[in-house]
Amino acid sequence: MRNKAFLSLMELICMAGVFALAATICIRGFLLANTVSNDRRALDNAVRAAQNAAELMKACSGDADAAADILCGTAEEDSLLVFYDSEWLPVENEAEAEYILRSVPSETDAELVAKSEITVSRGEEQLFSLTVGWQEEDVREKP
Amino acid sequence: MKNRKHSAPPVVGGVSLLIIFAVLCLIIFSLLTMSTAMAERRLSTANAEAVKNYYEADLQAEEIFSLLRLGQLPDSVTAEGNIYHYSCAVSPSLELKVTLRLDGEVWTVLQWQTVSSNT
Repeated sequence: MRNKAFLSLMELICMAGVFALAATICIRGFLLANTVSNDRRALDNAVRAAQNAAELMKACSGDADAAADILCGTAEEDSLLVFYDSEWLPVENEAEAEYILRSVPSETDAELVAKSEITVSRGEEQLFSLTVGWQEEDVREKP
Repeated sequence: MKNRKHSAPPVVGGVSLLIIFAVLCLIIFSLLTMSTAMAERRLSTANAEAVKNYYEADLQAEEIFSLLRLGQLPDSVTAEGNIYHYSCAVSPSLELKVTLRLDGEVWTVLQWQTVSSNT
């Protein structure tokens, strides 16, 4: 009778150990997957925000003020600055911002073309960047 | 003759089976979650790369357009009367195809489109 109870207890202890070990490893896996997923979501939103800003800069022929009005950001000279909170909603203060979109004019060799470097960052970490160009005076007539 | 008492074998294994099943479930779900997260990350990275490549090609197309506006005819441009065609590679399988028409001083964009380069 004592033997039977001892065996059951040993089994229970061993299995609890196995479960604890497996659970520790698997929970780490779940946490890692969650981190990867959050990073992926941030990258997707950064790409979307940068693309929006790029198309606006092209459509406004580099008028940062006009682009800032639409994106709820601020314009300083020819630079555009948009602050986003953790839900990617535009906010006014840098203190509330988790993500920052910057569009800064860059040097170009080509005449009649203006360029801007658009970067989206989270703190010091740069999530995404692209360079967009447009004709300085838009002489195009779209059909 | 001794009268031996036959007792039932100890009931072990039930808990083990249950725990093994739980551990297997945990491992399978953990692996599935990890593989889904990794696949999504690969997709996002590829998308980001594609967007970046598109804007590089778009910038190149704008630069060629500016040369045309200045009256130059780069090697990559084909002119048919007042219609100008050129394309810029976005990726090995995609290109940005541009067709412009010049009427006097006015440029008209007839095509500014990504198309498959295999067609």
